[in-house]
Amino acid sequence: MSVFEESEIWNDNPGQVSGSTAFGFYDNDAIFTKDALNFAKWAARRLGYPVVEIEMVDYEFYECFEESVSEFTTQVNQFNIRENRLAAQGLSTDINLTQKTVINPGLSQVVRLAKAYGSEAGAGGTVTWHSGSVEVHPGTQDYDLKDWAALNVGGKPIEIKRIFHTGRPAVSRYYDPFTETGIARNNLMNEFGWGGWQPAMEYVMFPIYEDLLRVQSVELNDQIRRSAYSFEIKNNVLKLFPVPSSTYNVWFEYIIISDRDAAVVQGTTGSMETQDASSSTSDVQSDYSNIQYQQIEYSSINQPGRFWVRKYGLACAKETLGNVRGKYQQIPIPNAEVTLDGDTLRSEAQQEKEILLTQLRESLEEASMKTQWENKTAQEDAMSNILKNIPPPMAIHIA
Amino acid sequence: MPQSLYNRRRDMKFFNSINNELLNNIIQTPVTVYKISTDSPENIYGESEMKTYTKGLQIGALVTHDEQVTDASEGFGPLVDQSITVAFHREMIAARGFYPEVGDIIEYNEAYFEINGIVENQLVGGITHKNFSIVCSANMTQRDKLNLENIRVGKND
Repeated sequence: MSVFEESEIWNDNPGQVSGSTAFGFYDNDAIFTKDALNFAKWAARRLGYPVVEIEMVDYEFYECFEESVSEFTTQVNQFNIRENRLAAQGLSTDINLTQKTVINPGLSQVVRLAKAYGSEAGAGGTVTWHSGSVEVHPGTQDYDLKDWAALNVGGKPIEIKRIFHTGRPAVSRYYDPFTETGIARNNLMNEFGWGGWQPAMEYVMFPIYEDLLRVQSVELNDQIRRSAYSFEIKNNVLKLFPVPSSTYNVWFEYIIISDRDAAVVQGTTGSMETQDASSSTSDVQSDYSNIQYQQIEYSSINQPGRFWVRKYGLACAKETLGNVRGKYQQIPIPNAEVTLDGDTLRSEAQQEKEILLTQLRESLEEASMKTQWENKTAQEDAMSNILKNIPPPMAIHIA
Repeated sequence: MPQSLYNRRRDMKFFNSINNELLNNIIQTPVTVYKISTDSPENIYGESEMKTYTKGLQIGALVTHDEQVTDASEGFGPLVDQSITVAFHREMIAARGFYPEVGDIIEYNEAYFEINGIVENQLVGGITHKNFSIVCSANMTQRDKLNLENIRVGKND
């Protein structure tokens, strides 16, 4: 007599949870193992047991439960990475941010980003400004900086940031009668109507804008009425104005363009270093892949979270059962065939999972810092409007 | 010979589970099968003058049936006839230790039917050694010829 062999199916007597799942993320969490057992029984009954047989075994339910907790963890962590990315970047990878409140909004990363602007503005930054000079000669107005670069920086492309080719500072010619702006003190005395009056002792207090206006006046005068010091650079050729009348050095500042183009990455010490991206190290948190949000302990998940986990786990179980029942379109029965509900189960499961994920993501977005501030602002605006309509308290004086 | 990718042993076990639930829990049309006994008394020519049957075995099966037909033309009282088809799950009945043959009696719907034909041609995936069912065609037989039950009893007996 042969043995009638059947598949293992649900028998309402689930076995040990610990060690039964593929990843064993929560094997040491006593509350997880207890809830996984209860989940298996609950899910089997929600799928129709004991009225109909459920072609699943206990560890398949545990897998669904584990996957559901992991999905919940992933969604929450993905949201937190988006929310706290600026704060996390640059932290040591030893710092675990899971279920931690990030209080510091993370200006350090903003400051780091600002360094790129600083480099261009000549105020800090990460690109070195070098100094150089060309010797100018009387009567020669044009100087090829490409030739200079070939001689001095090995022909690397450079970018001129600043050229020191100016006359004396206007402020040093403040009292210069040849600036065509008059003499400052006399101007003021005249404007006050005291011209020609010469007391024994003068005390004149100038406002600071008087100095500034005069400096501008000197510079504008130089620019319009005189051949002022200026320059232009066209096709790497520096043209100086006025035409030099003596031999001297014109100094300038420049950067090597490849310095700017080099990837700016954060090195092992947490300092900013300019280096190839390929040589970067990763013991600081840098991007989506290594910002330290890890598995959330199941026992630390709150009631709404656990309820979501159960619902999502049920959808996973339904999907698994659908896969089992859907491998064959038709199942043979004696002298006929029967169609199982695999496709329906899978379709329902996918819809339920999608709905649950959408709900969770929307809930998380509602809890974002940005939304909270918006809500808080709206609340305060509404309260202000309400309070405006309340008469101010009347003072009652009792004699 | 290499195994086929589909319809392997694990799949067959799955089919068995579904069939077991379907035949025994959902549809629930059990039939009782009486096999002809080889211990029937024989005459001097080695012939059995009266068939006897083994103890009945109840098992789930899928039964389809024609309408009952009553023939009163013979003049000896009305004769009721009916044809049925009883499909057995091969592995399920093998586990019970029997194999239906022509001449066996099937009790169904409070009537007896004698198997007059057997078809074994439901090959899963066309694989010959995965013959899934045994389909028996049978016709209603008179219960007084079978000696399966005492029909000559009245209320006073």
